Amino acid sequence: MCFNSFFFLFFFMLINFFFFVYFIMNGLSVFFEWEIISFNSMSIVMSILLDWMSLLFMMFVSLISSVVIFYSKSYMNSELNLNRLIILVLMFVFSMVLLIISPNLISILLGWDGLGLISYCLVIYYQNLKSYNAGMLTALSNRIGDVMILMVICWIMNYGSWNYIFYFDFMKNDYVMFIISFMIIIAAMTKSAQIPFSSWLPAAMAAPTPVSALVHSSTLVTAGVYLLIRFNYLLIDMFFFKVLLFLSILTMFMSGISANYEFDLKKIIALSTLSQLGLMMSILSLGFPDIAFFHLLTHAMFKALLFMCAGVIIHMMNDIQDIRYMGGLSLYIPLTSLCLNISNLSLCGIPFLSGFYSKDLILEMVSFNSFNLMVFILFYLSTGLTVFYTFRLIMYVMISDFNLMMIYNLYDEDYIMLNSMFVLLFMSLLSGSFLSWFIFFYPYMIYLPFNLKLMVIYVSILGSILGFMVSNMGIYSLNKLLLSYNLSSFLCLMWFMPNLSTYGLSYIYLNFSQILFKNIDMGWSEIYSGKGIFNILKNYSVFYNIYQMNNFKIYLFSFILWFMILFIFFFI
Amino acid sequence: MGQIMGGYHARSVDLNSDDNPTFDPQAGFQYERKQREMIAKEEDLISARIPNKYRDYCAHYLLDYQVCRYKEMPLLYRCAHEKHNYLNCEQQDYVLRMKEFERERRLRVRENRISATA
Amino acid sequence: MAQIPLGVKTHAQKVCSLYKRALRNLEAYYDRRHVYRYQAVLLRERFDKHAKETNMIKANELLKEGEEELFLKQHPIPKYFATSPGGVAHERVVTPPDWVLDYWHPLEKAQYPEYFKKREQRKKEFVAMWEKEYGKPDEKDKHH
Repeated sequence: MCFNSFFFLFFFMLINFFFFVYFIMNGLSVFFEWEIISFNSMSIVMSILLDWMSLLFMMFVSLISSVVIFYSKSYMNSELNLNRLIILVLMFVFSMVLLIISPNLISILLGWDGLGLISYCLVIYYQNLKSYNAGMLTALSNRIGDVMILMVICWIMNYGSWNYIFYFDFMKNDYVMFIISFMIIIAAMTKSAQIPFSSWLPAAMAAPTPVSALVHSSTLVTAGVYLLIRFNYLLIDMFFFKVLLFLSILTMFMSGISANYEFDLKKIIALSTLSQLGLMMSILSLGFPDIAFFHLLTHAMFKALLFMCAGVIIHMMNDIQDIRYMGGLSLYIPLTSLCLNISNLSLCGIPFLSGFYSKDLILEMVSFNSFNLMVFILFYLSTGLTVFYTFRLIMYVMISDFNLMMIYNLYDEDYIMLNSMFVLLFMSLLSGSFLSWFIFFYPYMIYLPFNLKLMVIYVSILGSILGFMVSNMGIYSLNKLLLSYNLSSFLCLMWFMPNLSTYGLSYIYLNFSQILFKNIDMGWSEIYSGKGIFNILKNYSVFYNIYQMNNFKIYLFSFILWFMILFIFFFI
Repeated sequence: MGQIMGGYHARSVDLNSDDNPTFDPQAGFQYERKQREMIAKEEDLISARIPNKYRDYCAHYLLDYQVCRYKEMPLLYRCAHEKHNYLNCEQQDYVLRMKEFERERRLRVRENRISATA
Repeated sequence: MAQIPLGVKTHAQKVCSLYKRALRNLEAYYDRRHVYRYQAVLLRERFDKHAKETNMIKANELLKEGEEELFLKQHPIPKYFATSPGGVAHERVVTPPDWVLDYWHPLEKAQYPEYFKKREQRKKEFVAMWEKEYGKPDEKDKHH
């Protein structure tokens, strides 16, 4: 089952690649339409839009999913029900492809709902309490986005079509369009885990690692960004894009800080995904959808690779995910540490790896165009934080002293896992430059002063020095400051936002409902309907029983009574 | 970022980035300044379906780049020369616009100085 | 388990529990082993200073202060082993209990005839072993 689906998806990827090159060469864009019902003036059509953007994204999705399925053949081989996982992953890829190729909101909704539902099934795959809670959190957060898209479907009926290709920004003064753009942005924010809805992404790391590599790094969380890229012509210059800019920059910053204090390997990578998603959303809301798409694709490559390397390490340590148990592994697992290093450096934006092309382009566009000072500062600060937690991760896992947790388990030569990682490594090295030639039809001119151009390098070097110093554990005075309880617990628990959005929203209602339940359901309504009527009926029947059972006494008594009445009547 | 600093410097004379020049184009120049002319032809731009915002004074280099892209696809790295020409032209256009902005700002400052002393 | 815990802890048990939790807390903060060992020796010295305390009032006060200090200084992300409660891989694979097999449909049971024959045999032997050790059940316990 594994190998069949791997070959199918790989073949699908090759088909997509050839069509992508053909379409981009000729500037083709194909729109299929099937009429389902056509009645008087109403017609329901099913449509598929194939242009270079959807073909390219489908190629990346199918490449990553084929590699992940191949990887999970070896990673999950102790799993008795592996077929279930493969079928779920295939259904997930199918709904993602449906989302990518559909131009109208109804089939986008089908793909969107499918993604949310299947990611819930994948998160709760392991049946422990943490997975159930994480699955609830994932499903409910994604549900809000589904509701928003349903409402957009209703509102956009006003304009006659559910396709996004018919709407441009000349409609922005309309109040209904205002509401529609607000809801679409909220829907994309829930899927891509921006600030009010960001608590589900670190929690969803309870899923198996190959699932995280596919779902939480490249496909599910980028569905929101993809939706906004497609709707970009409609939404540009709307007010809520500025709100989205604010929230996504905050997300980027907050998750960068939280990843510095986090000790669970998969949660660090999840928070780094969150940070890069904030970056994608913010550059999208600044008005550059093609750069956002570029970063989406390169990020998918190296993030999936990073998750897979983390999976190898977790497999080696017998399911331990805490980086405090790891140390000095680079000497013992050279190939895996090669992949880990390259994907980490690509994440930081080290020159000429794939992440550099997209990240550097984003930062240069931010410096070149005149935006807010706060935007500028937070972008560069978040880039520095990215390098900071990356180097901290490398220090803890790879470079520090060998922590002696697992000596005999250091098995790197699992060729199935390694081969799948090498495919992604190859793509992660080359996809940056490859895509930067293809995607940009009209090159961006950037003219910056020398120091501003090198600002990225300065920030990276600063971040790497800080990361090295903090994780070295040799400088205790600095660490005591950074690890002071209140500051560190505020910063590492994601500014308490998961608590706010779970307990904070529901606690008051649960409290109130407990009061209502105790006093009304189990109190007064028992007296007036349940137990009370029962008691009344019981007491009455006990009372009437006397009259039923004492028939003879009553008969004699009534005899005496009538006798007395007749006596009084006749003799007075 | 540099645009923010430069723009801030020009706020004191009430000059924003999208304003048009208000002074005589010939004022202060010894030689005769000509109007910039489009080298790319209108029908070429229309037939290549280049979006409106890229139909500026460097569009002829852009057309060469698009032609080279179509010919060399998928080995697009061979178009580096055309891309470099286009980006050079864009950069010189940008520098020209920077100089126009600075000229506008200095003329306004000079006008303020003259009207303050008068 | 062999004995049911009493529910009342002696003072020594409480102190030992506090010490172990404090050591685990230190391990969460100082993850290089040599650094942790140094800090653990310092902690042990703090505990040893009051080890021979005979005044129980003072000893209880010290214990309460120790608990309070541990609560204030606990690590926000404690270090758990993966398969222990609180860890990541706790109860990942749940095996269904044995009595579920009794609820199978007879057609499903017919797919594994040997196993179910042996299972019936095992059940009879188990009942015989129980009655040998604990005697036959009373008539009063059977029907409520």
